[in-house]
Amino acid sequence: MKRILLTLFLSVSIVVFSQDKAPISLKSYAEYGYNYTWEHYGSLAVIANFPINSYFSLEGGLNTNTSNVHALNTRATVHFPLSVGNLTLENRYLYRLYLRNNTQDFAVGVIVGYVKDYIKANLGVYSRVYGSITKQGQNESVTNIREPFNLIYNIEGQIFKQDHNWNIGLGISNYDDFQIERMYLPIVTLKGNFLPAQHFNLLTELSCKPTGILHGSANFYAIYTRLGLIYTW
Amino acid sequence: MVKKITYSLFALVLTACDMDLVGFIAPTSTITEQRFEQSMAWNMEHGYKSLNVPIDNYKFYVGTDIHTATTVNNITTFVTALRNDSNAYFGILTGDLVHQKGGFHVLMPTLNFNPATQARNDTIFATVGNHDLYFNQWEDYRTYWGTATYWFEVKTPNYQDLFISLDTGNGTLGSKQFKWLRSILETKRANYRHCIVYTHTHLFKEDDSQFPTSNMPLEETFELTELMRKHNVNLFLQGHDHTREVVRYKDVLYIVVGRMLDGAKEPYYMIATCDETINYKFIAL
Repeated sequence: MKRILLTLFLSVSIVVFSQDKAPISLKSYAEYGYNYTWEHYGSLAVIANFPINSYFSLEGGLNTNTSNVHALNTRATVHFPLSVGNLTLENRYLYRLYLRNNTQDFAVGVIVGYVKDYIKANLGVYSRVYGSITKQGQNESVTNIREPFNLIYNIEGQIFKQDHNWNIGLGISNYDDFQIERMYLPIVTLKGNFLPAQHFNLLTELSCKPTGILHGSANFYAIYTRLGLIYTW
Repeated sequence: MVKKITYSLFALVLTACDMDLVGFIAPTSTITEQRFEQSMAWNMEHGYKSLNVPIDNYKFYVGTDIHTATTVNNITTFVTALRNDSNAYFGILTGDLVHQKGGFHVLMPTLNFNPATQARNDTIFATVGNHDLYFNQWEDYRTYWGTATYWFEVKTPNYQDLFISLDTGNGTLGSKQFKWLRSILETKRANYRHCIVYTHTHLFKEDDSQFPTSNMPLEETFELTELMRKHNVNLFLQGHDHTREVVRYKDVLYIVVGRMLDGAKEPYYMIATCDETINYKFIAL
């Protein structure tokens, strides 16, 4: 039985790893932001993407910021290259450690994505659970707050096709690399990227997160900007 | 979920005349930070209230989401019950007092003392909700209530309790109000038996009871809940969601008091009793 399983595993592995695949990439950026709660803050992020083959990729990322909030993000993505565009199915896990608030936050999402020429669109669902890191003195309290169902979305338009050597895009979404907000807190982002040389892709982003939009009473909450690069092997 | 989205879109279309559609992209009244400054200016001029209550175990009434349009049946019942309850000494309304433009002019006469039906003229405190901001109605709110961010104290023979009102009409406290809240808790909390905080927007989203009613951003939710724990706040009262929710989290009791608007299915209000602990019950209207 062991031999059969081993043979099966090796066969699958050979098939999987022998496919043509996209190169490994490493993305890193620095962020400066302001919001009503933390006020001014800075953060650093590193994200590595490992394509297993042309249909499957894994991603892992770390983020740390000066407000003493840290995050770990993982994604597993299945790619379906179709004639009408590229379709993806993504399983995402985001863990955030709010040391400043003695709070940990864990979100799990399943997201369907579509990319074609000038647009990117994603839609999915996620669940969230958050609670205290330390549990002292909370005998009668619930340990965690569960927010079982929420929508996750992203829609983004660009002025050139995806493979152009520079691009500018505008998107609206309730998530990014290290945050998944509730559905009614959209983040509006202006994005730019430029490929100055082989392997390098410079990126810049300016995001604004208003609050109260679905109160019918919108108000500024946060703004942040990012500058970084993606190195592709 | 699809049903809820459909109902919400329907409701949005049907109530479009009551909604300030500008609010989906821009503030409908003065923004949070400016409202806070205006509330502080009013507080400076008028001071903070101190109520003297002759018993240690007093009651207070809490109502929310009245959404006054043309009728005032439930709020009249609430005010009359409060002012005829011999152990209750004040009431709190946690926002969405009105539903449409001009609503304050319909609501406010109801809160006036009526000696024919009421035994005492108990004070009613309020804070602002998102509906109270539509069509620049913050100006009407200010005219009648003066402030949305303030504290008051209740002095009993042996104790004193602290009550803090917060303005979250836009789904955020804003930076200045948060600093003020921190400062109040740091300087005053230790002098009081109980501390009760009340505001309009609810903090948690455990269900989609009123899809898609929005909360505050997560950063603010986590900051606020930790601040409440740190300063041993006993009770945090909220409205907005129209559905009752009681959660004890980080040793703080969070209650979303359900709606009491006229015509609602199962409207009710809450009566809290401040004793050694704080007890509460809900009263159907």
